[in-house]
Amino acid sequence: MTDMEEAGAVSGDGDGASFAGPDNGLADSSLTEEYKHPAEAAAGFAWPLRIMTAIAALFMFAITALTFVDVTGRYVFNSPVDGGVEFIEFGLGFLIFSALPLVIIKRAQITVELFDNFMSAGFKRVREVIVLIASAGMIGFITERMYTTGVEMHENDDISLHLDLPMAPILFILCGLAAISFVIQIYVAWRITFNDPRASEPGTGHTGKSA
Amino acid sequence: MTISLIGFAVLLAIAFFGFPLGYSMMLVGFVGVTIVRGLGPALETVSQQILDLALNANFVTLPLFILMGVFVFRAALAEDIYDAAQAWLGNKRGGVAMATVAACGGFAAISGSSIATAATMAKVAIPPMRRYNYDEGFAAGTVAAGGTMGILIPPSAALIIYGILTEESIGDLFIAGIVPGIITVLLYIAVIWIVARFRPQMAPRAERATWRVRWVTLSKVWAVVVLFLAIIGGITFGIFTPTEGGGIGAIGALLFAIARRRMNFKIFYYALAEAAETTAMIFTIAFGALVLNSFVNIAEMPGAIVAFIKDLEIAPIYVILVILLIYVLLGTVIEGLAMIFLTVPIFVPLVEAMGFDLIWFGIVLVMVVEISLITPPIGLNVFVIKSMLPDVPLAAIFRGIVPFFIADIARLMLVVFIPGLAIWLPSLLR
Repeated sequence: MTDMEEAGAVSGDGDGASFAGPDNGLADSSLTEEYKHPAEAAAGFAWPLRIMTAIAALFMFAITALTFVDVTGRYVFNSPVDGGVEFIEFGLGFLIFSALPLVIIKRAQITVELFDNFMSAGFKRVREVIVLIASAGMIGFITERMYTTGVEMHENDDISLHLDLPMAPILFILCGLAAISFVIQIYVAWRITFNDPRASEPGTGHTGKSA
Repeated sequence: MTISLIGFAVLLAIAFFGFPLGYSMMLVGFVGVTIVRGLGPALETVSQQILDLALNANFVTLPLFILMGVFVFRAALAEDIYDAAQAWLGNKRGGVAMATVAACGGFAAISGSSIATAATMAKVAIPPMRRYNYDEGFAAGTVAAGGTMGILIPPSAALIIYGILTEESIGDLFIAGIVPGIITVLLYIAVIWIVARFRPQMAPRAERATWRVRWVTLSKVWAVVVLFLAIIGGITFGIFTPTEGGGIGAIGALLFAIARRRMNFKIFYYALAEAAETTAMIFTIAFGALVLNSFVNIAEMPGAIVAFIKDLEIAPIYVILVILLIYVLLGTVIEGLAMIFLTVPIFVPLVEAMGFDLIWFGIVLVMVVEISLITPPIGLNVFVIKSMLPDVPLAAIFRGIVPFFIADIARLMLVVFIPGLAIWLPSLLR
């Protein structure tokens, strides 16, 4: 993702939203616009991606609500949610791994492309394919790590600190989510390799607005 | 020592080749630990670091403040802040620009992102500056520089990330950013005053607002004040943790957005998705950064460098100055967030080994990242503003930034040589 593209994506904000009320000084259409592209880029994977997006949004909402209920419960009603912290912990893991496919489809991972201007188009293409396949390798590695650690935790009967929940299933869920990301990354690599024009725009997604 | 140097060479090579930064760091860290300790411990390290990060309630702080930022962006609180600043400062020489800086500072107090601050304030503050015939480059430069405060004034995504990577208290980091943040606002206003004094045509006065208007506009910023006090006040006085503050902030900003009729289900849903995506993006790099960090520590690199520096008999502060110079240079070509992830695993162990305060270094780091956001050729804030003002030449914007850049360097030196500016407030409240 280059900075110009990022800046360009930010500029997409603002105009033409009709659903957000009368006074539209600030960006309102940007979000929906931004999420149209990944759905297009995902092509055959549009529906799996939509589902993963929904799951990620759900986890995001769940940890926000849980944190809020936990803190208000503690200070206002003097009764925190039992084991709330632990649910929030697991929620964060699920959130990260379920939103990963979105990052992959949008090709929003942070990169440092210093020598871009000095590369020929042909070299860039070769590089892109190598980078995508190697990225799939890394996600595959993470998937394997979650699986193996899960198996170890299962053998040791590891349980969580507060709620005594078995840890292995948590790891297997993380592993499953990572595996979905792995498949999507392979799919992206495959499409770029065989030159699908819709998928060939790297970094169209993330605007960096939020961070 | 040699192995870690080879490791960095490889890391830079594959990162500059275009391999995502997080994967580059994870790969180099993993291979490095394998060479030093063997495959078993290396595999263990990767799992350990991922799980320590992904299943840690303290780090929920990051998605919560990101979500709050997305909601604040929708709630249109920026206009209120700007109107008040404009009513109070506008009639001064260069007053509209001063109001812009003050409003950037105010918005930064409810937003954790510099890019969001710059993008939001550009929409709100550039049109009035154009109306009063401000020099366009100077106007754009004011917003670009003012926007950088988003990551210095708490809440701050950059400080949260630094806290996650270094295991320093995110609450202390937030509090440490307050005084340098206020200094920044004052310095920038001073810069504008000087520019307006010597080049009055670049920054004319606006008409004076009546006292009634001043108080009315000021009373409208109550929502912002409530949000800031609830979160940063709560964290500062230990009423709740940064994570809880994030939860309150996200829900609070959501309620404001609903009250202002700027929220519907669709926006709500995509805001959640955007926050989730940003979180995933940041955490996948953080995984890599921490695996790399393990390697750096196992290879005993910081100790070796400190011994080397002792041999050379240079005062540690010179090493800090060299590090800062590297940052400023690196910042011209690497984007801010990437710079934090790439350098924290390398520099922080060194800084710690030399006996410097890591809260202080976090603030210093954020300040050099701020500088990187406005320096050519790749100043992210500048590009954000340029994309909104296509008719203003890039060179003019960078020219407009020069006075602020000088102020940034002065401010950096202030905090470097008077660490108390950053660490006094958190130490007071600890």
